[in-house]
Amino acid sequence: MSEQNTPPTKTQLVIVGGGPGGYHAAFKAAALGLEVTIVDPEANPGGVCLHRGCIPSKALLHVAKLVSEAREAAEIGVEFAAPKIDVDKVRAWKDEVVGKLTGALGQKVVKEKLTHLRGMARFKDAHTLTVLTDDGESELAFEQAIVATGSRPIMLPGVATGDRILDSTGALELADVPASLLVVGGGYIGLELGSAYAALGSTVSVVEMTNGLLPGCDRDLVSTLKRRLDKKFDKIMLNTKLAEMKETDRGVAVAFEDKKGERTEQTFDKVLVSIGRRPNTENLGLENTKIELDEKGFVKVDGQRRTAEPHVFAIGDIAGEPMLAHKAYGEADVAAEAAAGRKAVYEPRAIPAVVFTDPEIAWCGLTETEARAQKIKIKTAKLPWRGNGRTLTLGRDDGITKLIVDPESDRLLGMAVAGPGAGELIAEGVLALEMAAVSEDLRRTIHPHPTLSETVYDAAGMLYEP
Amino acid sequence: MAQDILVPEVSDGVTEGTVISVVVAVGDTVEVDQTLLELETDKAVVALPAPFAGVITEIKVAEGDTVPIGAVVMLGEPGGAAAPAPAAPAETLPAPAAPEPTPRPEPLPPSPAAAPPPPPADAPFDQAVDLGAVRGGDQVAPAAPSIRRLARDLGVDIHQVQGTGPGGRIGEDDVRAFVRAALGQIRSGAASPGGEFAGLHAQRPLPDFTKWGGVTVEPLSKVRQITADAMSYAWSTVPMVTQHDKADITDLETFRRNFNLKAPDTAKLTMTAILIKVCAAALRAFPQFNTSLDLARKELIFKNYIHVGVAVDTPGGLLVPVVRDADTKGIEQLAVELNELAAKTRERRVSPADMEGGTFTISNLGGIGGTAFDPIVYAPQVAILGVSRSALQPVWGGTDFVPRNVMPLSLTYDHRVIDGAIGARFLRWICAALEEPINLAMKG
Repeated sequence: MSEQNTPPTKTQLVIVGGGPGGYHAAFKAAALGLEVTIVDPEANPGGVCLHRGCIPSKALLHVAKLVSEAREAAEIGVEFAAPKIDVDKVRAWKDEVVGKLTGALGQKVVKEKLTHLRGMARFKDAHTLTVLTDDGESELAFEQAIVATGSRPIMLPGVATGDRILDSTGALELADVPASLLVVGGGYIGLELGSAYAALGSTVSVVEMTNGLLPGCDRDLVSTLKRRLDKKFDKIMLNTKLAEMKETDRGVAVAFEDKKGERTEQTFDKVLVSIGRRPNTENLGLENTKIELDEKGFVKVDGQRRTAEPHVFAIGDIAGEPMLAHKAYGEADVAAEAAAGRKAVYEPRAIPAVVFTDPEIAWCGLTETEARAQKIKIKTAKLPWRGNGRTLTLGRDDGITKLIVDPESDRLLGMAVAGPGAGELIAEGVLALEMAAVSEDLRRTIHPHPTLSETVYDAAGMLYEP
Repeated sequence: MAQDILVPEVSDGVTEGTVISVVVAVGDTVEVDQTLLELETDKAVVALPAPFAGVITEIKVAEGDTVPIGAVVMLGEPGGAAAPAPAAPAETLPAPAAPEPTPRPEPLPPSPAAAPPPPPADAPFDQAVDLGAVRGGDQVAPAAPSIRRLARDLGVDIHQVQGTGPGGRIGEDDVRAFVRAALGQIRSGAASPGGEFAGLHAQRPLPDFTKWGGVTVEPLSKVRQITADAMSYAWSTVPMVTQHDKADITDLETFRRNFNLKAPDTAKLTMTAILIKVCAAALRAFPQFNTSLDLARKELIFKNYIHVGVAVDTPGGLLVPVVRDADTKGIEQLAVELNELAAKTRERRVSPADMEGGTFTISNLGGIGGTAFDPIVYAPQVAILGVSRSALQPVWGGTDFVPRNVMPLSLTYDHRVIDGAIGARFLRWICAALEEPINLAMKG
């Protein structure tokens, strides 16, 4: 890598954090002619997304997909023997995928002649960072900075992670496949990892405090997902609180308390706590600058992602919801362009969200739930996938495509999809939103047959018929 | 608690000003009303007074910055005791760190022109992007990202653009049509181009003067910009006639000198003060000189008040403070007022309000010289009196030539409102009043 023996003392643009936001901003800024230094503790950039998030979880979910498809193949006359899972080999493959991707980023850092300081940075003042590396502490003066330090899992109060109590990072390490796993929290991380462990052979239970999985998500999508998860998971306990949790020799003893206050107890081999993430804004020395945080702990930024110190930008998870890698990419472009003196602003019309469960769930723009809550007038088209040829040839019948339009202008306001491949399909909706498409545009666009994307065409046909 | 120090309302229509000097430094203890900085606005240079006694803790502007009314320019800690300045001055006024020339082999040109150098740290972020207009989600204008970027580059607020596509979608043509319409409005005078002055829009491209030798380029001061605008507007829209006449002021001068022998400095009688009174009386006798023309409504607006503007030469350019209700005041009072107003103007302490509302203007260059000149009407006024240097001249006294003190006067008027004969009569009236001031009482 390009760590240097004598660390530089000044730089034009410093990027703090090597996750998707950080490395994307670094490469973009370098391409625009800035001299860039990136500070990150890992040997290679990648951040949570590549090292401990999106990528390793998708690798495990691929395994889960193979297993469940092989199992379901019996229904269409293809029977496989029960899978034998070599956990060490699966883990090695997952690590290899991560290694390839992060290694490629490391090489790009060298190729683009960025300076990579492997360590942690802290603001000494608004123009100087203190960088702590294995070689000791040094100071780095900068003209501009982009802070992209990301987020980390929230733990239950008074609970520490260990061999049996895991957060998403621990679960992705895949130390073994526990016989029973409790997932605390019915959000996307818990459901994705729970699905993966279920496919690998664990008996998975989910406990969620609110009255539904994926709080805030469109209920039509959630019910499509839940129908299938009910079969894959042992139990999904809604409206249920975790009253007590104790690590014992035989496992983790857990006491649940339902809405009526009734307690039940159960012991699990392992527990995955996935109740949310919090921005990494501590230990950055932000108090030595004018940078401000909002009440949720996110860094306050303007339309160019500039903080209260206008020469310091903040992007990605520390700059607000949604905490998604592709949102960080978008902000990284804007911050890098603005740092190079361009008039860029951050104004996405839509940021897609994808839950990589089986079936996948994806949405962008306005959701029906939000529209109802905010009393925004909408017209919707809901197209179940049951009639779609491609769905049936995949041996599936679950799935839904929903379009939400403005009843006056017929303009697309949002799109929501549940079903296999929903994460790929949603990109069309995002493009349509950014281009301010109306349902006629979608209906007059020729979609390939036979594909799942035809469900978008057919749903648009429910709103506009030429 | 540090308190914000804002740019106060200066005058109607003034929305921003340029900081021409910052008088205090971080850490300075200031008293109430002490001048903190000087702001040059469209209409005058105004001093920003301290709203409270205390210590200046932060200065957010530098000389040359343009700041809007209401902007926070400084922070101050109220209270008498001088607290130590919390922020090191180096933080607010850093040495401009020159962007380091980075020897990158192939910097990609980011924009059509040469790559703009990255702004040095803490440079004022004048990015010409209205971040207040940045929206997200369904508040984003119905236009493709490329179209939104185009609008931003052209300085167009895309939310003002009417889309003609399906469901009101904004396309490239809509943005271009918006720009064309806006420019058309400016050209036809229906809209004033924000921040610029219309007079120069007729300017033809200038040649490259450096082809023939070295040049030095100076930015126009606000006063110069306003003057250029007002003069080119008047010159290109008002058909003007100038008439010249001479007044024998021998007796008047004798009176004036004698009066000044005993008058204190502040009450010294000037010829301009006398002319204000004479003109005010003439304007009452000839009310059509105290009007403004509204061609759009086909009306002539007679003003029931007489406020006489006096052109004052200042180091920063020509300013025209106004003496109010000149017709109701005696010459002594006018003299005192004029002396004070002129002093204030030369020291650039005159307020924008002091320069508004004039109905007629006097431009006296007699102190400098010249035998005659054609002043330009200060539209929307319809007349202006120019005064040149008086001199002893042989005047035929009936039997022989006698030396008389003669003052040349030049009256320019808007010929759309005033005919030549009445112009001549008006100027003669003034001369007669100067020659035999009893006329003032007889006719006025």
